[in-house]
Amino acid sequence: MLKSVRSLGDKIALLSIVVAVMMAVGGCVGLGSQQAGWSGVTAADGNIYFGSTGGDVIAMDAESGAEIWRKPFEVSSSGGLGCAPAEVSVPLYGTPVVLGELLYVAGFDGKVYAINTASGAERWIYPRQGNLHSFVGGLAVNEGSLYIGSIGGVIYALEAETGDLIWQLETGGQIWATPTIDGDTLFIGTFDKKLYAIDINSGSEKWQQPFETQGPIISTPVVNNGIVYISSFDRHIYALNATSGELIWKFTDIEGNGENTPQKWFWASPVLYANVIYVANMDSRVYVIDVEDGSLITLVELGSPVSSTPVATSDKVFVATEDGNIFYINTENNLAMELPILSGKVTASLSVVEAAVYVHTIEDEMVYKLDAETGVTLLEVPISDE
Amino acid sequence: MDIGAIWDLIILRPMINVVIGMSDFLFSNFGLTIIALTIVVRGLMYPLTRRQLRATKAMQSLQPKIAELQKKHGKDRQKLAQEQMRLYRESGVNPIGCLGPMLIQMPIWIALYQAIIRVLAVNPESFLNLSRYLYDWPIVYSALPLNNQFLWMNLANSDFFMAILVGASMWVAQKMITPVTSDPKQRSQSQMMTVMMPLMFAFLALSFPSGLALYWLMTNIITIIMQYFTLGGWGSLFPGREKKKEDKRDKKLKTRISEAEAVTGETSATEADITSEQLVELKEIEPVEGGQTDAGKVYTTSPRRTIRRPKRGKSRRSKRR
Repeated sequence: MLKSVRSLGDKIALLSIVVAVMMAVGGCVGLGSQQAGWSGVTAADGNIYFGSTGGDVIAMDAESGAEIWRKPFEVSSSGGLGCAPAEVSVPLYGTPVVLGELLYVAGFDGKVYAINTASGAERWIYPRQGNLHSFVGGLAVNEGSLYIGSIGGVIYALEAETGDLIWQLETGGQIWATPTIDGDTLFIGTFDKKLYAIDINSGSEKWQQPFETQGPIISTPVVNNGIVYISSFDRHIYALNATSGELIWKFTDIEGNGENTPQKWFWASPVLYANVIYVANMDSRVYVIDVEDGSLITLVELGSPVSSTPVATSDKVFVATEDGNIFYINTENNLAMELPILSGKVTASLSVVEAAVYVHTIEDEMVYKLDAETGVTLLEVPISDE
Repeated sequence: MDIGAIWDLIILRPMINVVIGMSDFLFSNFGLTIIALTIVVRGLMYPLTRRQLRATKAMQSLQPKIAELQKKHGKDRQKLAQEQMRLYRESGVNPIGCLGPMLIQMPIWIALYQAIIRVLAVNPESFLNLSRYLYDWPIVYSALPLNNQFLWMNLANSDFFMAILVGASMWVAQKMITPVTSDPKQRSQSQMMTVMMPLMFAFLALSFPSGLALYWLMTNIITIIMQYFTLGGWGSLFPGREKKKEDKRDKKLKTRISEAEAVTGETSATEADITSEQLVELKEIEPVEGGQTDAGKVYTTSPRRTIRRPKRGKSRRSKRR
């Protein structure tokens, strides 16, 4: 005791250093979550393609799960304390898209890549030199053109064959959403809480003014019969006239604060099936809504937040929760059926191709292929970080 | 429920939602929010900080006497320890008095730090993770995302100039409370601390988002201000200036004593012979909870009161009348 008193000054100093180091180390490992990306899976010609959490684009045989090729994406580290290595992998968030013989991927390094689907060889990169702002949303493809928004708030239209810029349009906020195209109109939501309607030929805005909500929009709009359906962080779902941008209806009674009120963000995109919209919320529920008037048909409780966009198959809607539970909702009676638990967290969008649902889990990284009719697991492939 | 979940529920979640809610009143600007929140939290913690600083200062003021004791009983460890304890007891100084307030404040500082990191949401995963901390207050949903642009910085990126400011401000804060000691070993340790901590934080600020650096900078500035007013000056930062101040005080005091002696015609040898060092010593021993010296006199922080005016005879003012 007496000895400790004598060196008290030293101990206070030591304590200060320990706290500083703890905070620093906490910052080093805990400056937000570790960045890994959440690319979904796309499929074409018997193969599947996705971005791994290790920053690789991987091509696999859709039947056997055998790896065909793997292309790593790396970028030089910006330095710092030494928490990061000299070369770091590029996180890939958007789901890759296939058009003809090329696979298109947008990286968090602010580049769009075109890769040969057969060999994994790079065809072109946009921009040719330097980097744009990071890409979190995915690409939309339409008749030989690609469309994507960056977190710098700029929407780019590129020639799919050459990677040449067709037009670009600056919006007022970051873009994390994947655009959707209906006819000659591109719809995209932004962090400035607005939904834009843009002429895909000229890059000019179509509505008199963008439709404004009270929260950021990162979900992909759904368009059907001239109506755009969109969900927002403000906990509302909106139906808009696709031509004018005028509001048709809005779900829900947030102000009433009832038990049917969404509690958290709508991160995942809405899914439309037979005049019903299924919208998963971070409050662990799926809101089933009538497209005619925006009334709530039912709520489906899943027990864990949903950030991954569900998919609709012939008569089911597949939904995966963040903690790795996967369900299908029977569209006849809107009852949820729980499927075997997946290993790992699900934040990537689900995809459905040729009667199969694909799920990409992170942390314990796996790719699952489920039968779209029965939900039975057809394939599960662990993804190694080679 | 594990301790992490309890921490999140009771401290971190409220802090994060307050950060976001406050930003709504500050133009959704995260830079202004960090500044305001740091001021508010440090302001609320001020009574504890003041106790901690005063206890530290009181400990420092005993350093010359401790050095003397070390010189005197250096070889006899037990005796030295006994004498030190006696010194602390007689001076009314609690040797671990500065630790309590510091430990109480620490969870708040850490929560503030964590809240800033989480709200900064430097990558998509962090932003997604943020949603689990949000209350269903409309203000929270409308305020996000916060504007990370502040002055010349994007608060989500590191900034070289901010790193320099963090290092410089921390050096000033550290230097102010560095004890003046004649012991070369202690002096070198103090000097090392004064240099190492600012260097380390400047280095960290270079690697971390400048929003965090802004928080450290504000913390340092507030610490400097609190130290200035609580400890009554720049401390060891400008020792010359402090010495001048003390000399000035001594001079005034001696003038007053001379004047008093001239009035009474007596010389109070014990009082007049009190040196500047002793005056400072007397002044600085007392601040903790009205401690008493071994002579049984209660001293205060004001040197004016350390020497009483002679009671016999009339004061000069009353004589003039």
